[in-house]
Amino acid sequence: MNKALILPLALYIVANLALGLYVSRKHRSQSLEDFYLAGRSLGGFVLALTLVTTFASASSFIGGPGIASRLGLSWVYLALIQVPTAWVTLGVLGKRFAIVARRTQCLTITGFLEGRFQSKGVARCASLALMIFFLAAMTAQFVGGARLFQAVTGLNYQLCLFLFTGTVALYTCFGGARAVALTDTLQGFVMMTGTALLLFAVARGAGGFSAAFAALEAKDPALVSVHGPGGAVSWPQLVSFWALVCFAVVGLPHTAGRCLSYNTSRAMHRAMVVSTPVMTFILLGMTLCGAFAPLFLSGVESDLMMPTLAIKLLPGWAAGIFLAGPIAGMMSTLDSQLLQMAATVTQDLTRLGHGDEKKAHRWARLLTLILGLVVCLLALNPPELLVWLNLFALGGLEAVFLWPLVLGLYWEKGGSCAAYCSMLCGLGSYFLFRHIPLGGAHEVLPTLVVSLVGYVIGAYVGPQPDAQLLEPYFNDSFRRPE
Amino acid sequence: MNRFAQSNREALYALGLAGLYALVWWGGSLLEGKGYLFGMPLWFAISCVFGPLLFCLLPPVMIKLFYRDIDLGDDDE
Repeated sequence: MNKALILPLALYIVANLALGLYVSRKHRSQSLEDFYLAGRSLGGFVLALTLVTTFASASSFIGGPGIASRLGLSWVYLALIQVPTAWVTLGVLGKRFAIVARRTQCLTITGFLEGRFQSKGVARCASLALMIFFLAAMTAQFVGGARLFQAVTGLNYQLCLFLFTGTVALYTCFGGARAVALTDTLQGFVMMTGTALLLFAVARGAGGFSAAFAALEAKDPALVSVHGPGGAVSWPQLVSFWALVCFAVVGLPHTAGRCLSYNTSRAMHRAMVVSTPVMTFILLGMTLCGAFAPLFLSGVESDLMMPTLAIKLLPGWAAGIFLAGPIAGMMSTLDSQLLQMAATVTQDLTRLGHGDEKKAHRWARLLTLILGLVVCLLALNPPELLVWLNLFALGGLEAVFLWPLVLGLYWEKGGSCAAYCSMLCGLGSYFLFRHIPLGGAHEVLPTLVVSLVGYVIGAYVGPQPDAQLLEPYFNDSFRRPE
Repeated sequence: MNRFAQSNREALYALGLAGLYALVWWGGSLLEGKGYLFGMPLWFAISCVFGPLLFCLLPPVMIKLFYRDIDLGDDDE
């Protein structure tokens, strides 16, 4: 066990907890809007970092670069599809979403769906899908995080898991969305620092970037080709990945939730400006390190490639900072999901403490803790069903939420029938397409087409919602009656 | 000013810029095997380094030109 390695990690965990505590002391307000959406008061810079870090997960540091070490620059090419993700998410939901959400005082994405489609059923279905996929995805992330922790520190798995889950659940419970946003910002800095450190070490170790590219080409010319060794990265895959990780990210409830929490349109502008370079730097830096990893290591398992590389190339303290990167990546995704899940349970599935803001606030905090505990227990011994479901989590959430959210916002036509059709057709076909060969394309691409068609058909066949109730969503000059 | 119409336009611009990015990103791949730039394969330099770099600078331009500062609440007027 390496002390120099653990110190930055321990400091980092403590810093997260301290930030959460600080926020809960500073903002004693007990409103739900405060807890779930930071009182819709996030500024541009924090919004940018929380958006990027929520979107970037452990796979940006471990899984993705690990694959890049096998597929070379072709994987870097694939990863860089995501450069527009932040400005697309903010821009497409845009100010309209922010205006409507303020008007209807909705706190969650599912709450928005309930109001827009005037149906509790739609909200319940969406909430259920959200709960199931989030549980699966979070369990997987916790397992990954604890394993990484274990590999680095040598502590046992259970202890790592408790440390890791405990930290996330505690600061989220203390400070709600404000703590999530602030810790995300810290985590963003840690991620950038880690990326910069490793990138620098790799360049130095290879004798400069030009030498690294030349060495990579000398090793295997396929590693510097667009499509990788054996054409592993094909165009159908590239195009479907574009849908999965760039365009359809608009529909992810935990990133879309960010579009509810900024204070002014200026903050949104600023976030668009700041988030893109941050995102690009982390993506390019990490996958490039991964692609160059075979110059230094061989025969390392894909998921251990990056930690091993960091420990080999960096001095202990710097490797510790680097390893805090993926941990930060996981935490910053998990806290948002935890919060969103607590919000969904209290707002949409049950009516805990309904009508009493103070009580509801207490329930929200309690549920954050309980859900954290549940996921922690699940991660101790992950049920196979969850492991399997996790493979579908990202695409599944997009299949359910994307069109009801986007078309619900921009297209007046379509009531609950459209939303049901879109969600059910999307989800059903998603599982179906898994079993049909698509020539290398990810199944999310046809799925999104099916759920779009489902929405349009449902919109024309089903009854129109009450025009009066649609006013706040489509009439710019609507004013709430006093 | 109609805030909804304005934000619809802005959403389209955001999508358009993403499309433009995809075009550059794809176009770069056509340069495979066409030489090197600063030691990198040319296609990689365009698709993965200078393209993304350019598109880190374009959102501020887009915002300056097409985006408007609007009030997100209703109670002002």
